[in-house]
Amino acid sequence: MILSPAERSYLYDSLSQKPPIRPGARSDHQFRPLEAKTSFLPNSNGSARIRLNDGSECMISVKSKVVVTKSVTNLIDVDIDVAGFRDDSNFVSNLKYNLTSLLITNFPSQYLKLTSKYSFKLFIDCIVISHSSYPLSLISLATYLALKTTRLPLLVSEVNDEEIEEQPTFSDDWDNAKYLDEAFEPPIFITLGVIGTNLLFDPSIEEEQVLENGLIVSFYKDNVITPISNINLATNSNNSNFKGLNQKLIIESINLCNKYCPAIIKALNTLTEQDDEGDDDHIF
Amino acid sequence: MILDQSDSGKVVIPGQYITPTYKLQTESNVIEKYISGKGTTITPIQIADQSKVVSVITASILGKVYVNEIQSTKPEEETDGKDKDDEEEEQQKVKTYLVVVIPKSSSYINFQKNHQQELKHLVDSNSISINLPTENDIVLVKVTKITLKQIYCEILTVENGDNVLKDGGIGVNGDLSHVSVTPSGGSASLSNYQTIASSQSTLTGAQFQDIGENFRGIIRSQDIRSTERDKVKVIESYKPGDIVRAMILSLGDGSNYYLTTARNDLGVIFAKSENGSGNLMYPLDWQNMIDVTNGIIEKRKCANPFT
Amino acid sequence: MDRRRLLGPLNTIIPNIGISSNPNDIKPDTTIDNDEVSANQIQNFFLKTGIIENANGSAYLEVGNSIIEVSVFGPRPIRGSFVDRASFSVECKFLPYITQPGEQIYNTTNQFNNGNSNTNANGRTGLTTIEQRISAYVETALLPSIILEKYPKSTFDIFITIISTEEGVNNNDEDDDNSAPNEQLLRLTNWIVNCSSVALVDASVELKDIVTSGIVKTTSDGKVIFDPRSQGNEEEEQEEGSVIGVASFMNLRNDELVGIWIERQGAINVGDTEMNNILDGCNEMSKKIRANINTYLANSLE
Repeated sequence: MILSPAERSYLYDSLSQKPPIRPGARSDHQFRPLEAKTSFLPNSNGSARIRLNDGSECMISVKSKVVVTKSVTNLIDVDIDVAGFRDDSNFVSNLKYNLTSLLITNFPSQYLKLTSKYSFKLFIDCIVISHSSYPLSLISLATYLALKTTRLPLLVSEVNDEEIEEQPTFSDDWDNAKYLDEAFEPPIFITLGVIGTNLLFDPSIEEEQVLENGLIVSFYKDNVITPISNINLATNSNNSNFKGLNQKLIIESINLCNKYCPAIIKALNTLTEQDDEGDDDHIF
Repeated sequence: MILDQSDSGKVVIPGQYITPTYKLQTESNVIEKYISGKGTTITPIQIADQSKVVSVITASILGKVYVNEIQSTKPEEETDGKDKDDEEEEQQKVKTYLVVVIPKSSSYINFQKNHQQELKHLVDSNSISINLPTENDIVLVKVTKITLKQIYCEILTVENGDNVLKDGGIGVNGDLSHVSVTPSGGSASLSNYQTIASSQSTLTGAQFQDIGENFRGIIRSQDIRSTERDKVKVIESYKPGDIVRAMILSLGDGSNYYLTTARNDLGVIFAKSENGSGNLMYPLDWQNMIDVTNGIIEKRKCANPFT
Repeated sequence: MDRRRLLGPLNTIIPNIGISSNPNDIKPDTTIDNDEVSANQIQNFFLKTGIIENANGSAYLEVGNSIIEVSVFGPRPIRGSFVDRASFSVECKFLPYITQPGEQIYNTTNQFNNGNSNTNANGRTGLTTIEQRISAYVETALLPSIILEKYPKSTFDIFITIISTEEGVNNNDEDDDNSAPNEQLLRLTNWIVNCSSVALVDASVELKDIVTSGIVKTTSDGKVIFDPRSQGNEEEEQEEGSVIGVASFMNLRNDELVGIWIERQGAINVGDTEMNNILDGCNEMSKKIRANINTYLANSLE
């Protein structure tokens, strides 16, 4: 239990105001400030690390492998490791399911196609070093940065290998490695807290303790997309406020995400660009 | 749907509206107040397209609904003749009813029969669900372990109610109830708290009891009897295996309820001599029991059932 | 104004709500317009409670080729620190020979399990990612309905077993049609929630309301399909793109939405219209299922 009953009641009342009064003087659609770094793992095709000011930290590595397209069911494989939770726990499994589902449904697989027979398969490994609030949105933002900065080696062999028995060969110069696509903006997850008729973006751990419900909304290419689901965001707590929500709030949450999420994507893009420019320990 | 008293005995389904908490009978100008009793809960229902919210008593279990008037227990106030008529009239203006839903379970038949007498009890213990013991409930417990300071026991059943866990909580009856099996049968995976217990509603500190364990209680030595508390010896009061009638003092801590037997009608009901290896004993007085087969007299703090 | 009497508040409104408790009045809607059969009819389902004697409550549901069994245990005591509300956990398991919808996508990380989906990477038996996801949905949906405050120091455990699915038993053929795993998964989840709610009622767990759910699919050409079924030969549908959603409600408690899970196939926009169609459709379907469950429960006590 993080909060005492009195604190819970105070926070609940503050958050139920119109507009809500959030700790840290955030407005309802404001994210917590975050600090990120990309492309720092020399052995990965793409990597990213995100830190929040509450100490949450998440690291992502994207690696690739050439596979025969027909032999695999999916070209993206996600693995998540959360410190303090068993890999087979409900908590970790659900994070993994959600992220896999998001990427499988929305990732444009043509970016990974090499030849008519071969494709790249991406392995996204994610470590949540520490977290306080529900880490899905943190993981997905880090995944965004990692995928955005993922570079794959340049194919030098024939693209059309339908007729010929040839394995793809690549340029051994890393400077020729290509980004997945310059304009590619990977899908992300947004967590929203529901309290009264308010929707709070990116709830902090204290806010999660008093929320009436939590929504997970995904966003891709300037639009809300699927999966969309709800969950009790407060981990291992007896959140007595948890209850059902009005279905109108779902529609509202989608409209709010459509309105505010482009700004998040923009901020993340700026971040990768800045990281690209002023970085001396850039490995490529 | 609003029930009249004549609707008593009707089947209700969880979530079904029974009656608003207040109702005005327009023709007789009587306010009817309804109290949510066992098997019911109060739901705030929004009226369509209005921000008004009405508190409605709804059923929380599947069963039959009973609505009974509670007679006012307030002592009649002294009044002078002039106002007396008015006073009586006003007394009748507010009628209080208790709404209870009684499940089908056969062990409630008795309960149902004399629920007229049990009304007060039902109102009092409303906060805790039917099967779980709460403060001031009389329970039957089985002594499992004694120390110099306290007696550990397992709560078997709540008086006027049902068994707490008729199946040790896992639903295993008969021979199997003493064997360790996983809750979903032998074929299931290990029911590990960490893998299954989800993060959404379970506290990290909470651990499941071993399979087949019941709710447990403690009787401290000073709660054994009401007189000469400091001279009481645990070993001369209860022994493991005894069935004891006790009252719940409090919900206690994470592991144990706190119980007391400091009343004449509380104490040992069934005990076997020679640490349970002998025969059933009968009480001689409030602190001695006799095994009629071999004449052994043992010390127990006996319950007097005839008070 | 009459000051000598206690009057009720002004503007009293008696709620015009609720349904008749007389089971004879509640009849499942048998008048089905033949034209709308495909679009708006819910599949027939078979439901029975109390079949597992050793559980505190249980329910068994058959719909199409799917068979679901749910048993509820508890309240049983919990150790450790004092908790004033009950804990609640859900375990959902497929029988080992059943192909889990989407298992090729979600459970492929493990190279060593040789197709045995009930063994995870460590060789331990545990829940697969898909089973965990269903468990989490069911838990989220049922959590607001249980009056946990009435059960201090205890825990409820729900065990869901999937005995059969529409797609039947495991066949590891390469050309196995697994093109719509999300849809299969959501269809199954929908019925699992309905079945679990009934099992909770059977266990006499105190509930604020019974949770029921519905499933609706909208296609890119604006078609709204209630309770979509496995398509068989209608392959062309999948090309178009569709949004499919499960939503669970407490219909007698202000239609509170307690669970939502929306997935899609193909390229389709997820806008207000689609969402409204799905939510309203699910609500309607949930009400129909609720009416059936009410009738069943009322009759079971007669």
